[in-house]
Amino acid sequence: MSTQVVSIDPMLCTGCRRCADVCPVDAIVGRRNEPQTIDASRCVLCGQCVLTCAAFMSPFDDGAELLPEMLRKRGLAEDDTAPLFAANFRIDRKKVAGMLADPEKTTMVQCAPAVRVSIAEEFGKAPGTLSPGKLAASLRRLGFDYVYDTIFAADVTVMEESSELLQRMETGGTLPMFTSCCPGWVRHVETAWPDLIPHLSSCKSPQQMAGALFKSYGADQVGKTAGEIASVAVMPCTAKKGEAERPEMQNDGFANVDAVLTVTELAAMLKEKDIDLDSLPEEEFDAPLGIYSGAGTIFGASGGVMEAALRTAIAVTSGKDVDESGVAFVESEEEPGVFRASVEVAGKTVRGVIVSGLAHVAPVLEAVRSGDADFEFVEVMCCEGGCVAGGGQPKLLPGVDVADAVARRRKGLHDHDRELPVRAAHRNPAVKALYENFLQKPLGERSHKLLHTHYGKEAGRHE
Amino acid sequence: MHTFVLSDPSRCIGCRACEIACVKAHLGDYTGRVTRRQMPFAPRITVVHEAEVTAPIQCRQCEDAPCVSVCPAGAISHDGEVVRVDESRCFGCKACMAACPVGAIQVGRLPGKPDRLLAYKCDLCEDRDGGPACVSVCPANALKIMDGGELQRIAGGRRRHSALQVAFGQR
Repeated sequence: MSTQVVSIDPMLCTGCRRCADVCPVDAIVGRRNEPQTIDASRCVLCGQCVLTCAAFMSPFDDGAELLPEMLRKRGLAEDDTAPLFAANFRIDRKKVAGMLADPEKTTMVQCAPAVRVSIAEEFGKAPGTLSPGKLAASLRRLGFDYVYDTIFAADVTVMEESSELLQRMETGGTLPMFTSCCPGWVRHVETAWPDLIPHLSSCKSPQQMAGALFKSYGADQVGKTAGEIASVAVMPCTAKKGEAERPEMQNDGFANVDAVLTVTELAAMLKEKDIDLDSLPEEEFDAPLGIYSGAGTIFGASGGVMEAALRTAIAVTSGKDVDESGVAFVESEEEPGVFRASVEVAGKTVRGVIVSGLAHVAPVLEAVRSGDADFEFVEVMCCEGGCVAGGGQPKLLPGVDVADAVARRRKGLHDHDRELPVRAAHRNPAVKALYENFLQKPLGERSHKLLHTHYGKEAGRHE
Repeated sequence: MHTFVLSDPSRCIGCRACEIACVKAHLGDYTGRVTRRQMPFAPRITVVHEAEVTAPIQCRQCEDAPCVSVCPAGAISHDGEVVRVDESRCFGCKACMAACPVGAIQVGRLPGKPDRLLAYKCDLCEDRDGGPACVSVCPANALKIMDGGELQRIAGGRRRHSALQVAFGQR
C-alpha cells in the first residue's frame, strides 16, 4: 500500500490549528502549540489543510540544513527553493516521469475542468485565467502521447447519472440520489454516514470513467491493449489520488488511473523542464476523448454537475434543446452553502439540492436519514465553491483573498462554458460516437462494467 | 521616531503566516512560483516557537541602531523612518547579526542563491500599500504597529495608572 495521501510533518507543524478551522470533518487532532496529526478514519483527503498551512521550513530555521533531505523524502528536487510546509500531500511526480520515460507505455493524460482556470497562476497570472489551449500544449511538451480531457468523461457522467436518476424515479429506487463525482464527499458518506451509501449514484467519477475509457475504447482507437496504456490524471484535488487507488477502480486487473498529479505538481514538472506555460501556443486536446462540452466544463464549480444534468434531462425529456437550464438554485439564510430549486422534467417534479462544502452537508443528510427529505437529487462538492477550491490547486498564500480567487476561477469556468460551441453533454459529438460505436446506451452492459461501481467497500481503508 | 512592529506573545498562535506574508510582500509576483534556480524564500520576521510561547520577532527600527554603526560596508542606514539594508552593498559580513540586540537580522546562505550572503531585516514593507504585510495577515491580531502616537497612548495609560497607584495605593 502506498503512503498516506495527506499528512502533517511533525518536524514543521507548530500547532497553530488553523488547519483544524478549515477541515470540514474535524479530522485534525492535537493540542495547540504541539504538532497535529490527522485522524485517518475521518479524513476525506480534501487537502484544505495543505492549502491553509503556513508552517514552513525557513532557510533561517534551526535544522534548515536538513532541508535537502526533507525535500528528497517528499519526492522533490533537493535544490527546490519553494517553501516546504507542514501539511502536505504525497508527490507522485517521479512515478509519472517514469511512465513518460518508459518506451513500452503509451501515455494518456486527462485534466480536470478546474485545472484550466488555475494552472496559469503558477506562472504569475491572476486566479481564474483561462488557459485550456496552453494546458494541452504543455502536456504535449512534457511528452504525453495523447492529451485527453476529464471533461469528455464528465459529459459521459451526465449521460449515465441523469439516466440513473430517471431510472431510480421510475422504478422506485433509492432516493434521493447523491452525486458521486467528488471523492472527498464519497469518502465522507462511507466513513461518517455509511447507512446512506445506497443513495450514492453508482457512477464512477469523471476521473475514473475517463481512465476506464482510456484502457478500453481509447486503447482500441490507437491500436493498443489496456496493459500498454499508462493513464495519468491532472487534478485540482488531493482526494483524487486516493480515489485512483481504490481497489474497485479497475477493470480486468488494470487500474483505471495509474497516477494522479495535482496542479502544483504539474506546474513543478513544467518548470523543471523549463516549459513556460505562458509562451506556449494554444493547442487542441486530442480527439475523441478530449472533445468536450460546456456542461462537463462546469463540473469544476459547485452547482455545475446539477446544471449539466438538467440541461440534458430537460432536452432529452422535452425534445427541446436548451443552452442553459434556466433553473436558479437559491441559498437560504438558515442554510448557508445549501442551494435548492425544483424543476419539471418529463411531467415529474425533480427537487434538487446543491451543497457547496462538506461542512454544510450534515442537516441535509439528517433529513435523508430521518426520512424527511423533500428532494430527489443532491449534488455535493467537498470543497466550498467546488473543485476550483480543491486541495491540489495552487496554494493561495496568507494575505490572498481566497473567496475572491475562488470566485474568479468559477467565473473562468462559466466563461469557458459560454464560449464553447456545444454546451450540453448529449450533443457532444464525441460522446454520441462513444455511445453509437461502443457503449450502445447509458446504463447498458458496457457502461455497467466500465463506468459504474459499488461504493462502500473502501470505508476506513486509508492507513 | 521610527515606527516598528511589535508582537503580543499572548495572542500569537505560531502559524507563521506573518513570515509567508513577509516573503510574499518582498517577492511580489514571484511568490508561490518560487522553484528551482529562482528566488530565495527568505522571511524578514521569525516566529520563535518555544514550549510555553510563540511570538514573531522582527526589527525594532532602533533610533541609534547598532547594526548601522557596525556595518563596515555602509550598507545599513536610516532616514528617520526605517532602518534599511542596501542589498547591493551588503557583502554578508554578519556584524549586524552579531550586534542586533533583539536577534532581528538574519544572514543566510540561501537556497537558490548559493553564492550570495545577504542581511535580511524588516523594512516595514515600505513599498506596500496598506503597511506591513505581517500585521495585516495575522489571523490572531498579534502584531501591532508601534508609532509615536501608539507609544504615547500606551505610556500615557501606564502613567495614569501609576499616578492613581501613587495616590491611592494598589486597588
